[in-house]
Amino acid sequence: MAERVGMLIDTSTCIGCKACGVACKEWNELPMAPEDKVEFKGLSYDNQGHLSDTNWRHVKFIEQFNEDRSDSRWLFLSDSCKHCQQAGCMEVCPTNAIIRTEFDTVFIDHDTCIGCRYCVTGCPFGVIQVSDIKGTAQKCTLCYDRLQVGEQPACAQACPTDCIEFGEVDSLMKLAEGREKLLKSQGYDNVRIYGKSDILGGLNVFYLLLDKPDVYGLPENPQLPQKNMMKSYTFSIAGMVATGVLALLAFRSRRMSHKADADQDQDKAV
Amino acid sequence: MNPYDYFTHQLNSPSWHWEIIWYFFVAGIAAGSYITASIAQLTGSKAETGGSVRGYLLGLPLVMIGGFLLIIDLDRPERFLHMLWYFPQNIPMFKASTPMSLGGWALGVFGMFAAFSFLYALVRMEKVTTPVLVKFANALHEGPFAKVNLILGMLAAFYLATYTGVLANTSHLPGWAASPLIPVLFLVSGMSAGMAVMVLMTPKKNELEEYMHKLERADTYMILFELVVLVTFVASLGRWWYTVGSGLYGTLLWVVVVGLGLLVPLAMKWKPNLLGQRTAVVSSILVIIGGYFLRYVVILGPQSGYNGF
Ligand code: SF4
Ligand code: SF4
Ligand code: SF4
Repeated sequence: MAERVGMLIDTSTCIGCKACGVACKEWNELPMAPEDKVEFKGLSYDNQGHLSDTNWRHVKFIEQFNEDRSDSRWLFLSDSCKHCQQAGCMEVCPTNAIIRTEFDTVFIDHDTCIGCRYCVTGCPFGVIQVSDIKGTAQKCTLCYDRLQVGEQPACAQACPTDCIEFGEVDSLMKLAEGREKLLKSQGYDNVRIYGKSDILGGLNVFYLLLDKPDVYGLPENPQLPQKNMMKSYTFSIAGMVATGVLALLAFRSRRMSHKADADQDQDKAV
Repeated sequence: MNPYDYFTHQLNSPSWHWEIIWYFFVAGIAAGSYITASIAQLTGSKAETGGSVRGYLLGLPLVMIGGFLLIIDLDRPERFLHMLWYFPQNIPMFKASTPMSLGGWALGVFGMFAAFSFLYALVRMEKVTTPVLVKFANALHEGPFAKVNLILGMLAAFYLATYTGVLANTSHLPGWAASPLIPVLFLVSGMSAGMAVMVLMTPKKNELEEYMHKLERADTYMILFELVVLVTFVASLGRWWYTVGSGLYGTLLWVVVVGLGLLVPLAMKWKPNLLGQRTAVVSSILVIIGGYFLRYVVILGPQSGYNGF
């Protein structure tokens, strides 16, 4: 395997210009959203609202005010697939259409995907959607085609502030830790790294956040969907035993059954 | 405060709609009727199995309809074989970590047992008389292999009836993930609906009275059990109870599923002459309708409000 690559998204340097989103759309030739899905959200400068089949990168705009609106802050987060080490999408895919590449990224094989949409619920970050046009699951590929020819992802290249930093995950983590220290020393007490090994075994695309994850709409403690599966199977077995016993109880009364058989035999004899 | 709840809205809905609701519904009835007919076969007299054998007529056609629904639900239906075969490496596609993969296989395995029993039902009804087929079907249902065949078939049916709930549980939509009781709920409702269809299929004949009595008793037990499981399920959803218990879905759940689909049929079981001769027919139809709407609510409710629904 080649090195483990990913991206650091440093939200402290993001200016919300959306160049990354445009570059992603251009490079990957993503179509416009269908007309019925285009709407004014009325939410800050966000007009995408969500990652989707046609938007593999989405810049979140978070406007916050205090009670009397005398103080405010404006946060941005450029969001995409996180290329998780424990990838829920990959675990639930019934066709193995979601694979890990030689760069340790998570990639959807469009020749294998059947469009069952199970991966959509397997991802804890709502990254995937199935395209109405192609009929297969869509998400960021970490620009697999560019990586194969030694280029960095289009979004990272387009980012004017280097908020999206592409590279080898371990060295990116060191960079992030340095910036975290620096920001803390400047009074940003809530600054933190989101995506170390405590989050789904580590996210190849991880974040330097200025506040708690839920402020950015990121789950505090995402899990694999399989966390529920064994419990669910255990309950299934208990249910199976319970319904089996109830049905048996209802159908038991062997004495009467035998009597019926005996009567029938007697009828035949007559 | 975050001005808009990105966490809620960042999850995507898989947009599973009518095909999946109907699939879960027919799979439940197929499994429920097979299990009931098999239990009746293993415990009942020859006279009784004359009635219960009709239950075997349901499994195979319903599995075929279910398989068709599953295929047309795919966005690339022509590739449905990818569920069973991994073409890039030319190996069978089997993945234990995903209930959808196991479910695909379970549908096929159950289909095989359902086909055996379908044949047996035709033999018993004298619609098939080819000696070799008669011998084969009888050996699997009355002869030395009856127990093994029916118990394995029932296990496949149990899996088919529950895995649909495990599938919903193995996800991130809070209304699906919050309670591990969905598979039990689907199983019990499949059993009660399967039994209700069998009641409707049983002709009024003296020699089938004992069987009818037992079938109705079993259905009553299932309805009672379903009520308990359903209430516990909604309670166990905690803060996500509203996804199934309020608004349009809540109305359907409390009025159609609980009221019309469980409580009214239960009253009719206690007072079998409430509507004269038709009581059993009406109560069975209500149980079946309730079974459909249960799936409607549990599948659509938790998806509603999420992106892509
Ligand atoms: S972020 Fe979601 S889509 Fe991306 S790898 Fe992780 S689970 Fe899969
Ligand atoms: S939609 Fe495609 S990638 Fe997603 S789970 Fe289904 S087959 Fe796998
Ligand atoms: S890495 Fe490539 S595919 Fe992913 S968001 Fe950036 S430009 Fe888009």
